[in-house]
Amino acid sequence: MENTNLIISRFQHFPFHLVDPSPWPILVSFSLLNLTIGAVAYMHGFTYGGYILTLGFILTTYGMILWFRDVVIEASYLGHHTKEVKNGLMMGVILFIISEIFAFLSVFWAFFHSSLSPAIEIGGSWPPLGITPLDPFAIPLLNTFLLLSSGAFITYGHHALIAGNRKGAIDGVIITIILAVIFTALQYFEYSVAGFTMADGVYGSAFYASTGLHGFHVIIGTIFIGVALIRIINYQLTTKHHNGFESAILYWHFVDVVWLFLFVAVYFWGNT
Amino acid sequence: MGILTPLYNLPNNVLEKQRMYQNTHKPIMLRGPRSNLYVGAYTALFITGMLGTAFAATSLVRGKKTE
Amino acid sequence: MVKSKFLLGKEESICMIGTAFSVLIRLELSSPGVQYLQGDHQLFNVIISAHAFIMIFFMVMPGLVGGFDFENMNYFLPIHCGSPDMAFPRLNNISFWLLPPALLLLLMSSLVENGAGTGWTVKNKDKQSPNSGVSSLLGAINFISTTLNMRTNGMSLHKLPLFVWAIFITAILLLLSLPVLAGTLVPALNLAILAITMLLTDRNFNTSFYDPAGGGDPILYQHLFWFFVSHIVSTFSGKPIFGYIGMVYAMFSIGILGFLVWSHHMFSVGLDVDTRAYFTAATMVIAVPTGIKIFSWLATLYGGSLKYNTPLLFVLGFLALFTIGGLTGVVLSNATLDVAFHDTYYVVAHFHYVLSMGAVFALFAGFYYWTPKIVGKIHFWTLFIGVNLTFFPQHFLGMAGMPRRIPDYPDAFSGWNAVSSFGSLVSVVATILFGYIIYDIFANSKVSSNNPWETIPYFSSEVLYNNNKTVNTLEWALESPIPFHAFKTLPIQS
Repeated sequence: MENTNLIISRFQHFPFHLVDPSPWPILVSFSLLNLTIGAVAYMHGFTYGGYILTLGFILTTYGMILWFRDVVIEASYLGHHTKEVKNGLMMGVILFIISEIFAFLSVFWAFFHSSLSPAIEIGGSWPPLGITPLDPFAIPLLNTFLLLSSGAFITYGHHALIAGNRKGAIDGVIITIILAVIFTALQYFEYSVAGFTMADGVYGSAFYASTGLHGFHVIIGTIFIGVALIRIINYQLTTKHHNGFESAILYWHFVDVVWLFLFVAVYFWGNT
Repeated sequence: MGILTPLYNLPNNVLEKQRMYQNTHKPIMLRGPRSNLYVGAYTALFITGMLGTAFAATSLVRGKKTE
Repeated sequence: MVKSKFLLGKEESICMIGTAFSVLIRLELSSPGVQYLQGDHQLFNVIISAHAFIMIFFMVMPGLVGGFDFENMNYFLPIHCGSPDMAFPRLNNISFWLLPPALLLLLMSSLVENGAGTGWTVKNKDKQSPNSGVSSLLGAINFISTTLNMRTNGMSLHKLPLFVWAIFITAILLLLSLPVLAGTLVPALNLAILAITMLLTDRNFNTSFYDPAGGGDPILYQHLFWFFVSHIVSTFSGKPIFGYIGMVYAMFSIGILGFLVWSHHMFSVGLDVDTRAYFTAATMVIAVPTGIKIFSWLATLYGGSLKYNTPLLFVLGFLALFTIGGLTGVVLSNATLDVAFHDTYYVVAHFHYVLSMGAVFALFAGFYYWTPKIVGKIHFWTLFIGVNLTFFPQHFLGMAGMPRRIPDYPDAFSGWNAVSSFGSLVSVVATILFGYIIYDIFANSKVSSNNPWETIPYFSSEVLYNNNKTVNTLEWALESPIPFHAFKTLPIQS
């Protein structure tokens, strides 16, 4: 019985991972349909719209969790992620981040489009007449420090992991996550006390669209790092092989840099 | 950080897990110890969700609102 | 086999839905006054938008990029690269499955509240376009990773088939432009935020930057049209392609230029003179690399031993029609003229020559090239006559000033409109014929040999040919249909 495993046709002659059939793509995309139709029904006040929207959100998230659980099993327990597969995955993450950069580019474009030559309807000034902007050197500056130091801590955790220092890796990543959660909480606090809303003309729209999109990315990044933390704790990430963690770090630095641009353009330049 | 000490000293059971996951030919999503529960719960939710979608789509097309 | 059957059926049915909408438009416009829509002008608008959306987002783009891929990118890209599969097969799968929900949402939007006003319809379209946008974006990431990471031994970038190059360049452009142009702000999980943002930008910023009806920049999708063309021209003239490297760099420069000219859609909204001069020049420059491509194809054909079977016919049709579309494009690139022609039938004729004849003819050429069959010739001639009857008269209508998207017109325009409407009916006959051909292929035909197009090349003797059998690109070395995970051991590029 043992020897049958050595038949040559059972071996793969290339380093790529041919995935098994998986039900998650179709299930997740129909969950997205549920989410979208739920959103439309909810926004237009149809019966049970809110319930259907919530269900769609839960389904989409749950489906993605189960999908990525399969990938983690393939990576850590089945050993499918060879060097070539790692290369491909890293490339995919980098390309995804590039496309994200262009998404933020469009938001910044919209911001500068309305702020560089303010329309006569908003008093020809930026910030518009009657808008009380936020003080960039209060919470936003604190948030800048929080994000930058979280970047430093995640680098510490990464180097500790590479050096085989388990304690340092866990500490670094946990501190990063704590700082990220404080950032999100402060943003929430600032949104709730701000003197303008999303509906207050183009200033409010541009402000909340750009910082809100960024905040959304912070939340995603925090979850991303959280998954890496759990995998470090479970001994799934090794000193040489921690692709998921590296992707999370890249993503986190991307979020970090976008914040610096937001701070300089939207909070500082746009408010003075 | 004293409270984290149990985390640092967790037992490493990657090898046992690797044996467990590689010793079966079931679909990957069903190989774990509690997988049937997770996937079963998802299936139930998914069916409910699709019924909800069908309901929402019907009411959108018929244009019947709550009043 | 089952999979490709399913995919073909799907593509064909989407094509049918889009064509049905276009025929409704042409029937209404077949003579002046109210014809078939009982004076419901709102309905006419809804039909026009639905036609544009289905054709661009669900037929041309996915047929070549996104999820359908019955014969092209997802299927052939790894084979041309010499790799067993795509880099991320599950992403492939989800980009396919994202399309049915998106299509469902689109169709619903034309059912709900009769597309009342702009409220529901516009918002709902905002929501379906991210779905298909996400789908194309995931596809793009997948194509780039596969091309860069999974090429086989010896397959250097300068030996890559032109097919792969075209996909690769388009994928890069899609990756960079989709988040911006198609309004797909964050590629995943952002549907709600996205809808809000797009409404905001539309309402408050008064910019057409996010206008989903723009469908991004058509020039971006020019690459989609010539995926197959080079291969087919080379195969049926029995010569290698003329100017391989030049073709690659021409495609790159068209891609980069296409990025710089997005504003040529906005000539009439009142840009200043300098800006317009810049965009005029930039748009015209695109004609140069496009010319390189057209002339390289002609040079490949020149002196070759041409075999006029269906794929080559479609490619020749593509070359002729795409050149006409390109020439009217040069006319339109002139900002001064564009102001006059803006929103007239001249523009309609232009982009239908580029899109519906360029893209669709290339699509059919690829279909027949990789699905060896003969009945396609009737299909080609019917479609060729049909589309030309439909769209050539629209140049005249546009020059005479007939505005687009209006369900009625003065009696003076009636002659050419009648011709145009008749042509659209001819195209319908062609489309029905295509449906029968697909049925016939799967129901009645035999499995073909590994390389059905095999002939002795123009520059080779019979002895040399028989002793040294090679293939130009890898798909012809495999048995048909190509087995699951094509290569057990990786091939070697000489």
